[in-house]
Amino acid sequence: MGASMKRLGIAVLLCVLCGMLWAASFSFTLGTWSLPSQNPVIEAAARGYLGATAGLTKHLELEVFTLIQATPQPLADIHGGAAFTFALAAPRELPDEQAVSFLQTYLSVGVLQGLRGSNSTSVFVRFTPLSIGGPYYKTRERGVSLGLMYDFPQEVLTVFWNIFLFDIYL
Amino acid sequence: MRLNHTWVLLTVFLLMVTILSPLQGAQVWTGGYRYGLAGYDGSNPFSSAEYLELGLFIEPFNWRMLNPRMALSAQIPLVPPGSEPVWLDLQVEIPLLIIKDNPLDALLRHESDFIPSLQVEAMFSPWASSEVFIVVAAKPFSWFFGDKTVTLLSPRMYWNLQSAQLGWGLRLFEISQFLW
Repeated sequence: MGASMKRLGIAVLLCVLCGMLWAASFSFTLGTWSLPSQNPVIEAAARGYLGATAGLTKHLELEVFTLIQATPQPLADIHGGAAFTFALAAPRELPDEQAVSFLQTYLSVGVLQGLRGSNSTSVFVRFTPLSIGGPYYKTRERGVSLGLMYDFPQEVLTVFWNIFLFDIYL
Repeated sequence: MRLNHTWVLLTVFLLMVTILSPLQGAQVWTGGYRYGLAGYDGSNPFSSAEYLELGLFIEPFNWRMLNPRMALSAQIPLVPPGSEPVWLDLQVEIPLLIIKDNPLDALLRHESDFIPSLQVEAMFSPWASSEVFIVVAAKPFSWFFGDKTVTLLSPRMYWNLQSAQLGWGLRLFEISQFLW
C-alpha cells in the first residue's frame, strides 16, 4: 500500500507540474462518485469528490482528484485518482479568450487507487454526455457521467456514475 | 410499487402547488424542484448506501427576512429495489442570514447571496414503516444564484419518535432550482 501510494503521489505530482507548465486553464472540482451498493470493489457509502483540472491542449485536460467517504464513517476510506479527459464535441478552449461551445461532451480515461481503508486499484473509462460551461465561462457543470471501472485485485468490472461534477476556473 | 406511490404523491403535490401558488404574473420566484445526495450513519433502518433526494419546493411568502421554504422530497436509497423503503420528507427551511457580498463572488462568474439556513424535516414511509423521524439539518454552506440555491455539506441529526433513537447524516449537496 505504501509503495503504491508513493508511486501514485509521484505520478500525480509530475502530471500536475506538467499540466501547470502547459496549462491554459486551471480549475477546482467538487462532485460525487457513486457505485452500486452491492459492488465488490468499494463498500457502499456516500463519498465526496474533490479535484483539480489543468488544460493540456485545446481538447485535452488532466484531472486529479480524491474520493473521501463522508458517511457512514467519515474518512474511513480515501481514494486518489487521475484522468485524462478529452472534449469530443468541440475544443474545450481556444487561445486568446475566444468563445467556445457552451455545451460539451467528454470522454475520460483514468486510474483510481485506494489510499486508506481500501486496496482497490482500478482503471476506468467515463463518458459525460452533457456538460455546461467551460474555461471561457469560468464555471462548468458536468452532469450524470457514467463510467466503467476495472478493479485489478478483485478482477471485476463495475459501473459507476458522477451525478454532477462542478468546476470553478481560476 | 413503492416508487409508483412516491411519484403519485409528488404529482399530487405538484398539482396542488400549481393551483395554489400565485403563478400568474408573479413578480418573484415561488417554487421549483430540488435534488441532492445524502448519507446516514448506517444505523437501522438506514443503510450505509447513498440516498438520492428528489422533490418539489415552494416559497409561499415573499418575506424579506426568514422567508420560509417548504418542500416535499422522496429519499430514495440507492440499493436493490425492495431492500429498503423510499422515505418521504416534509421540510421547512428558514434562511438565518442573507449576505450579499461573500467571498465566492470573486471566484464565480455569477453573483450569489450567502444564505446559511436551518431546516426541520419530518421523514416517514407510509407504505413500509410506521417509524417517523424528526430531522434537524444545518445548512452552513448555502448560496443563492438568482434562480437556484446550491447547498454543500449539510449535517443533520435525526430523532426516531417511536424509539427515541438519535442519529446523524450528511447531505453532500442539494440543488434547488426555481421553475415558476
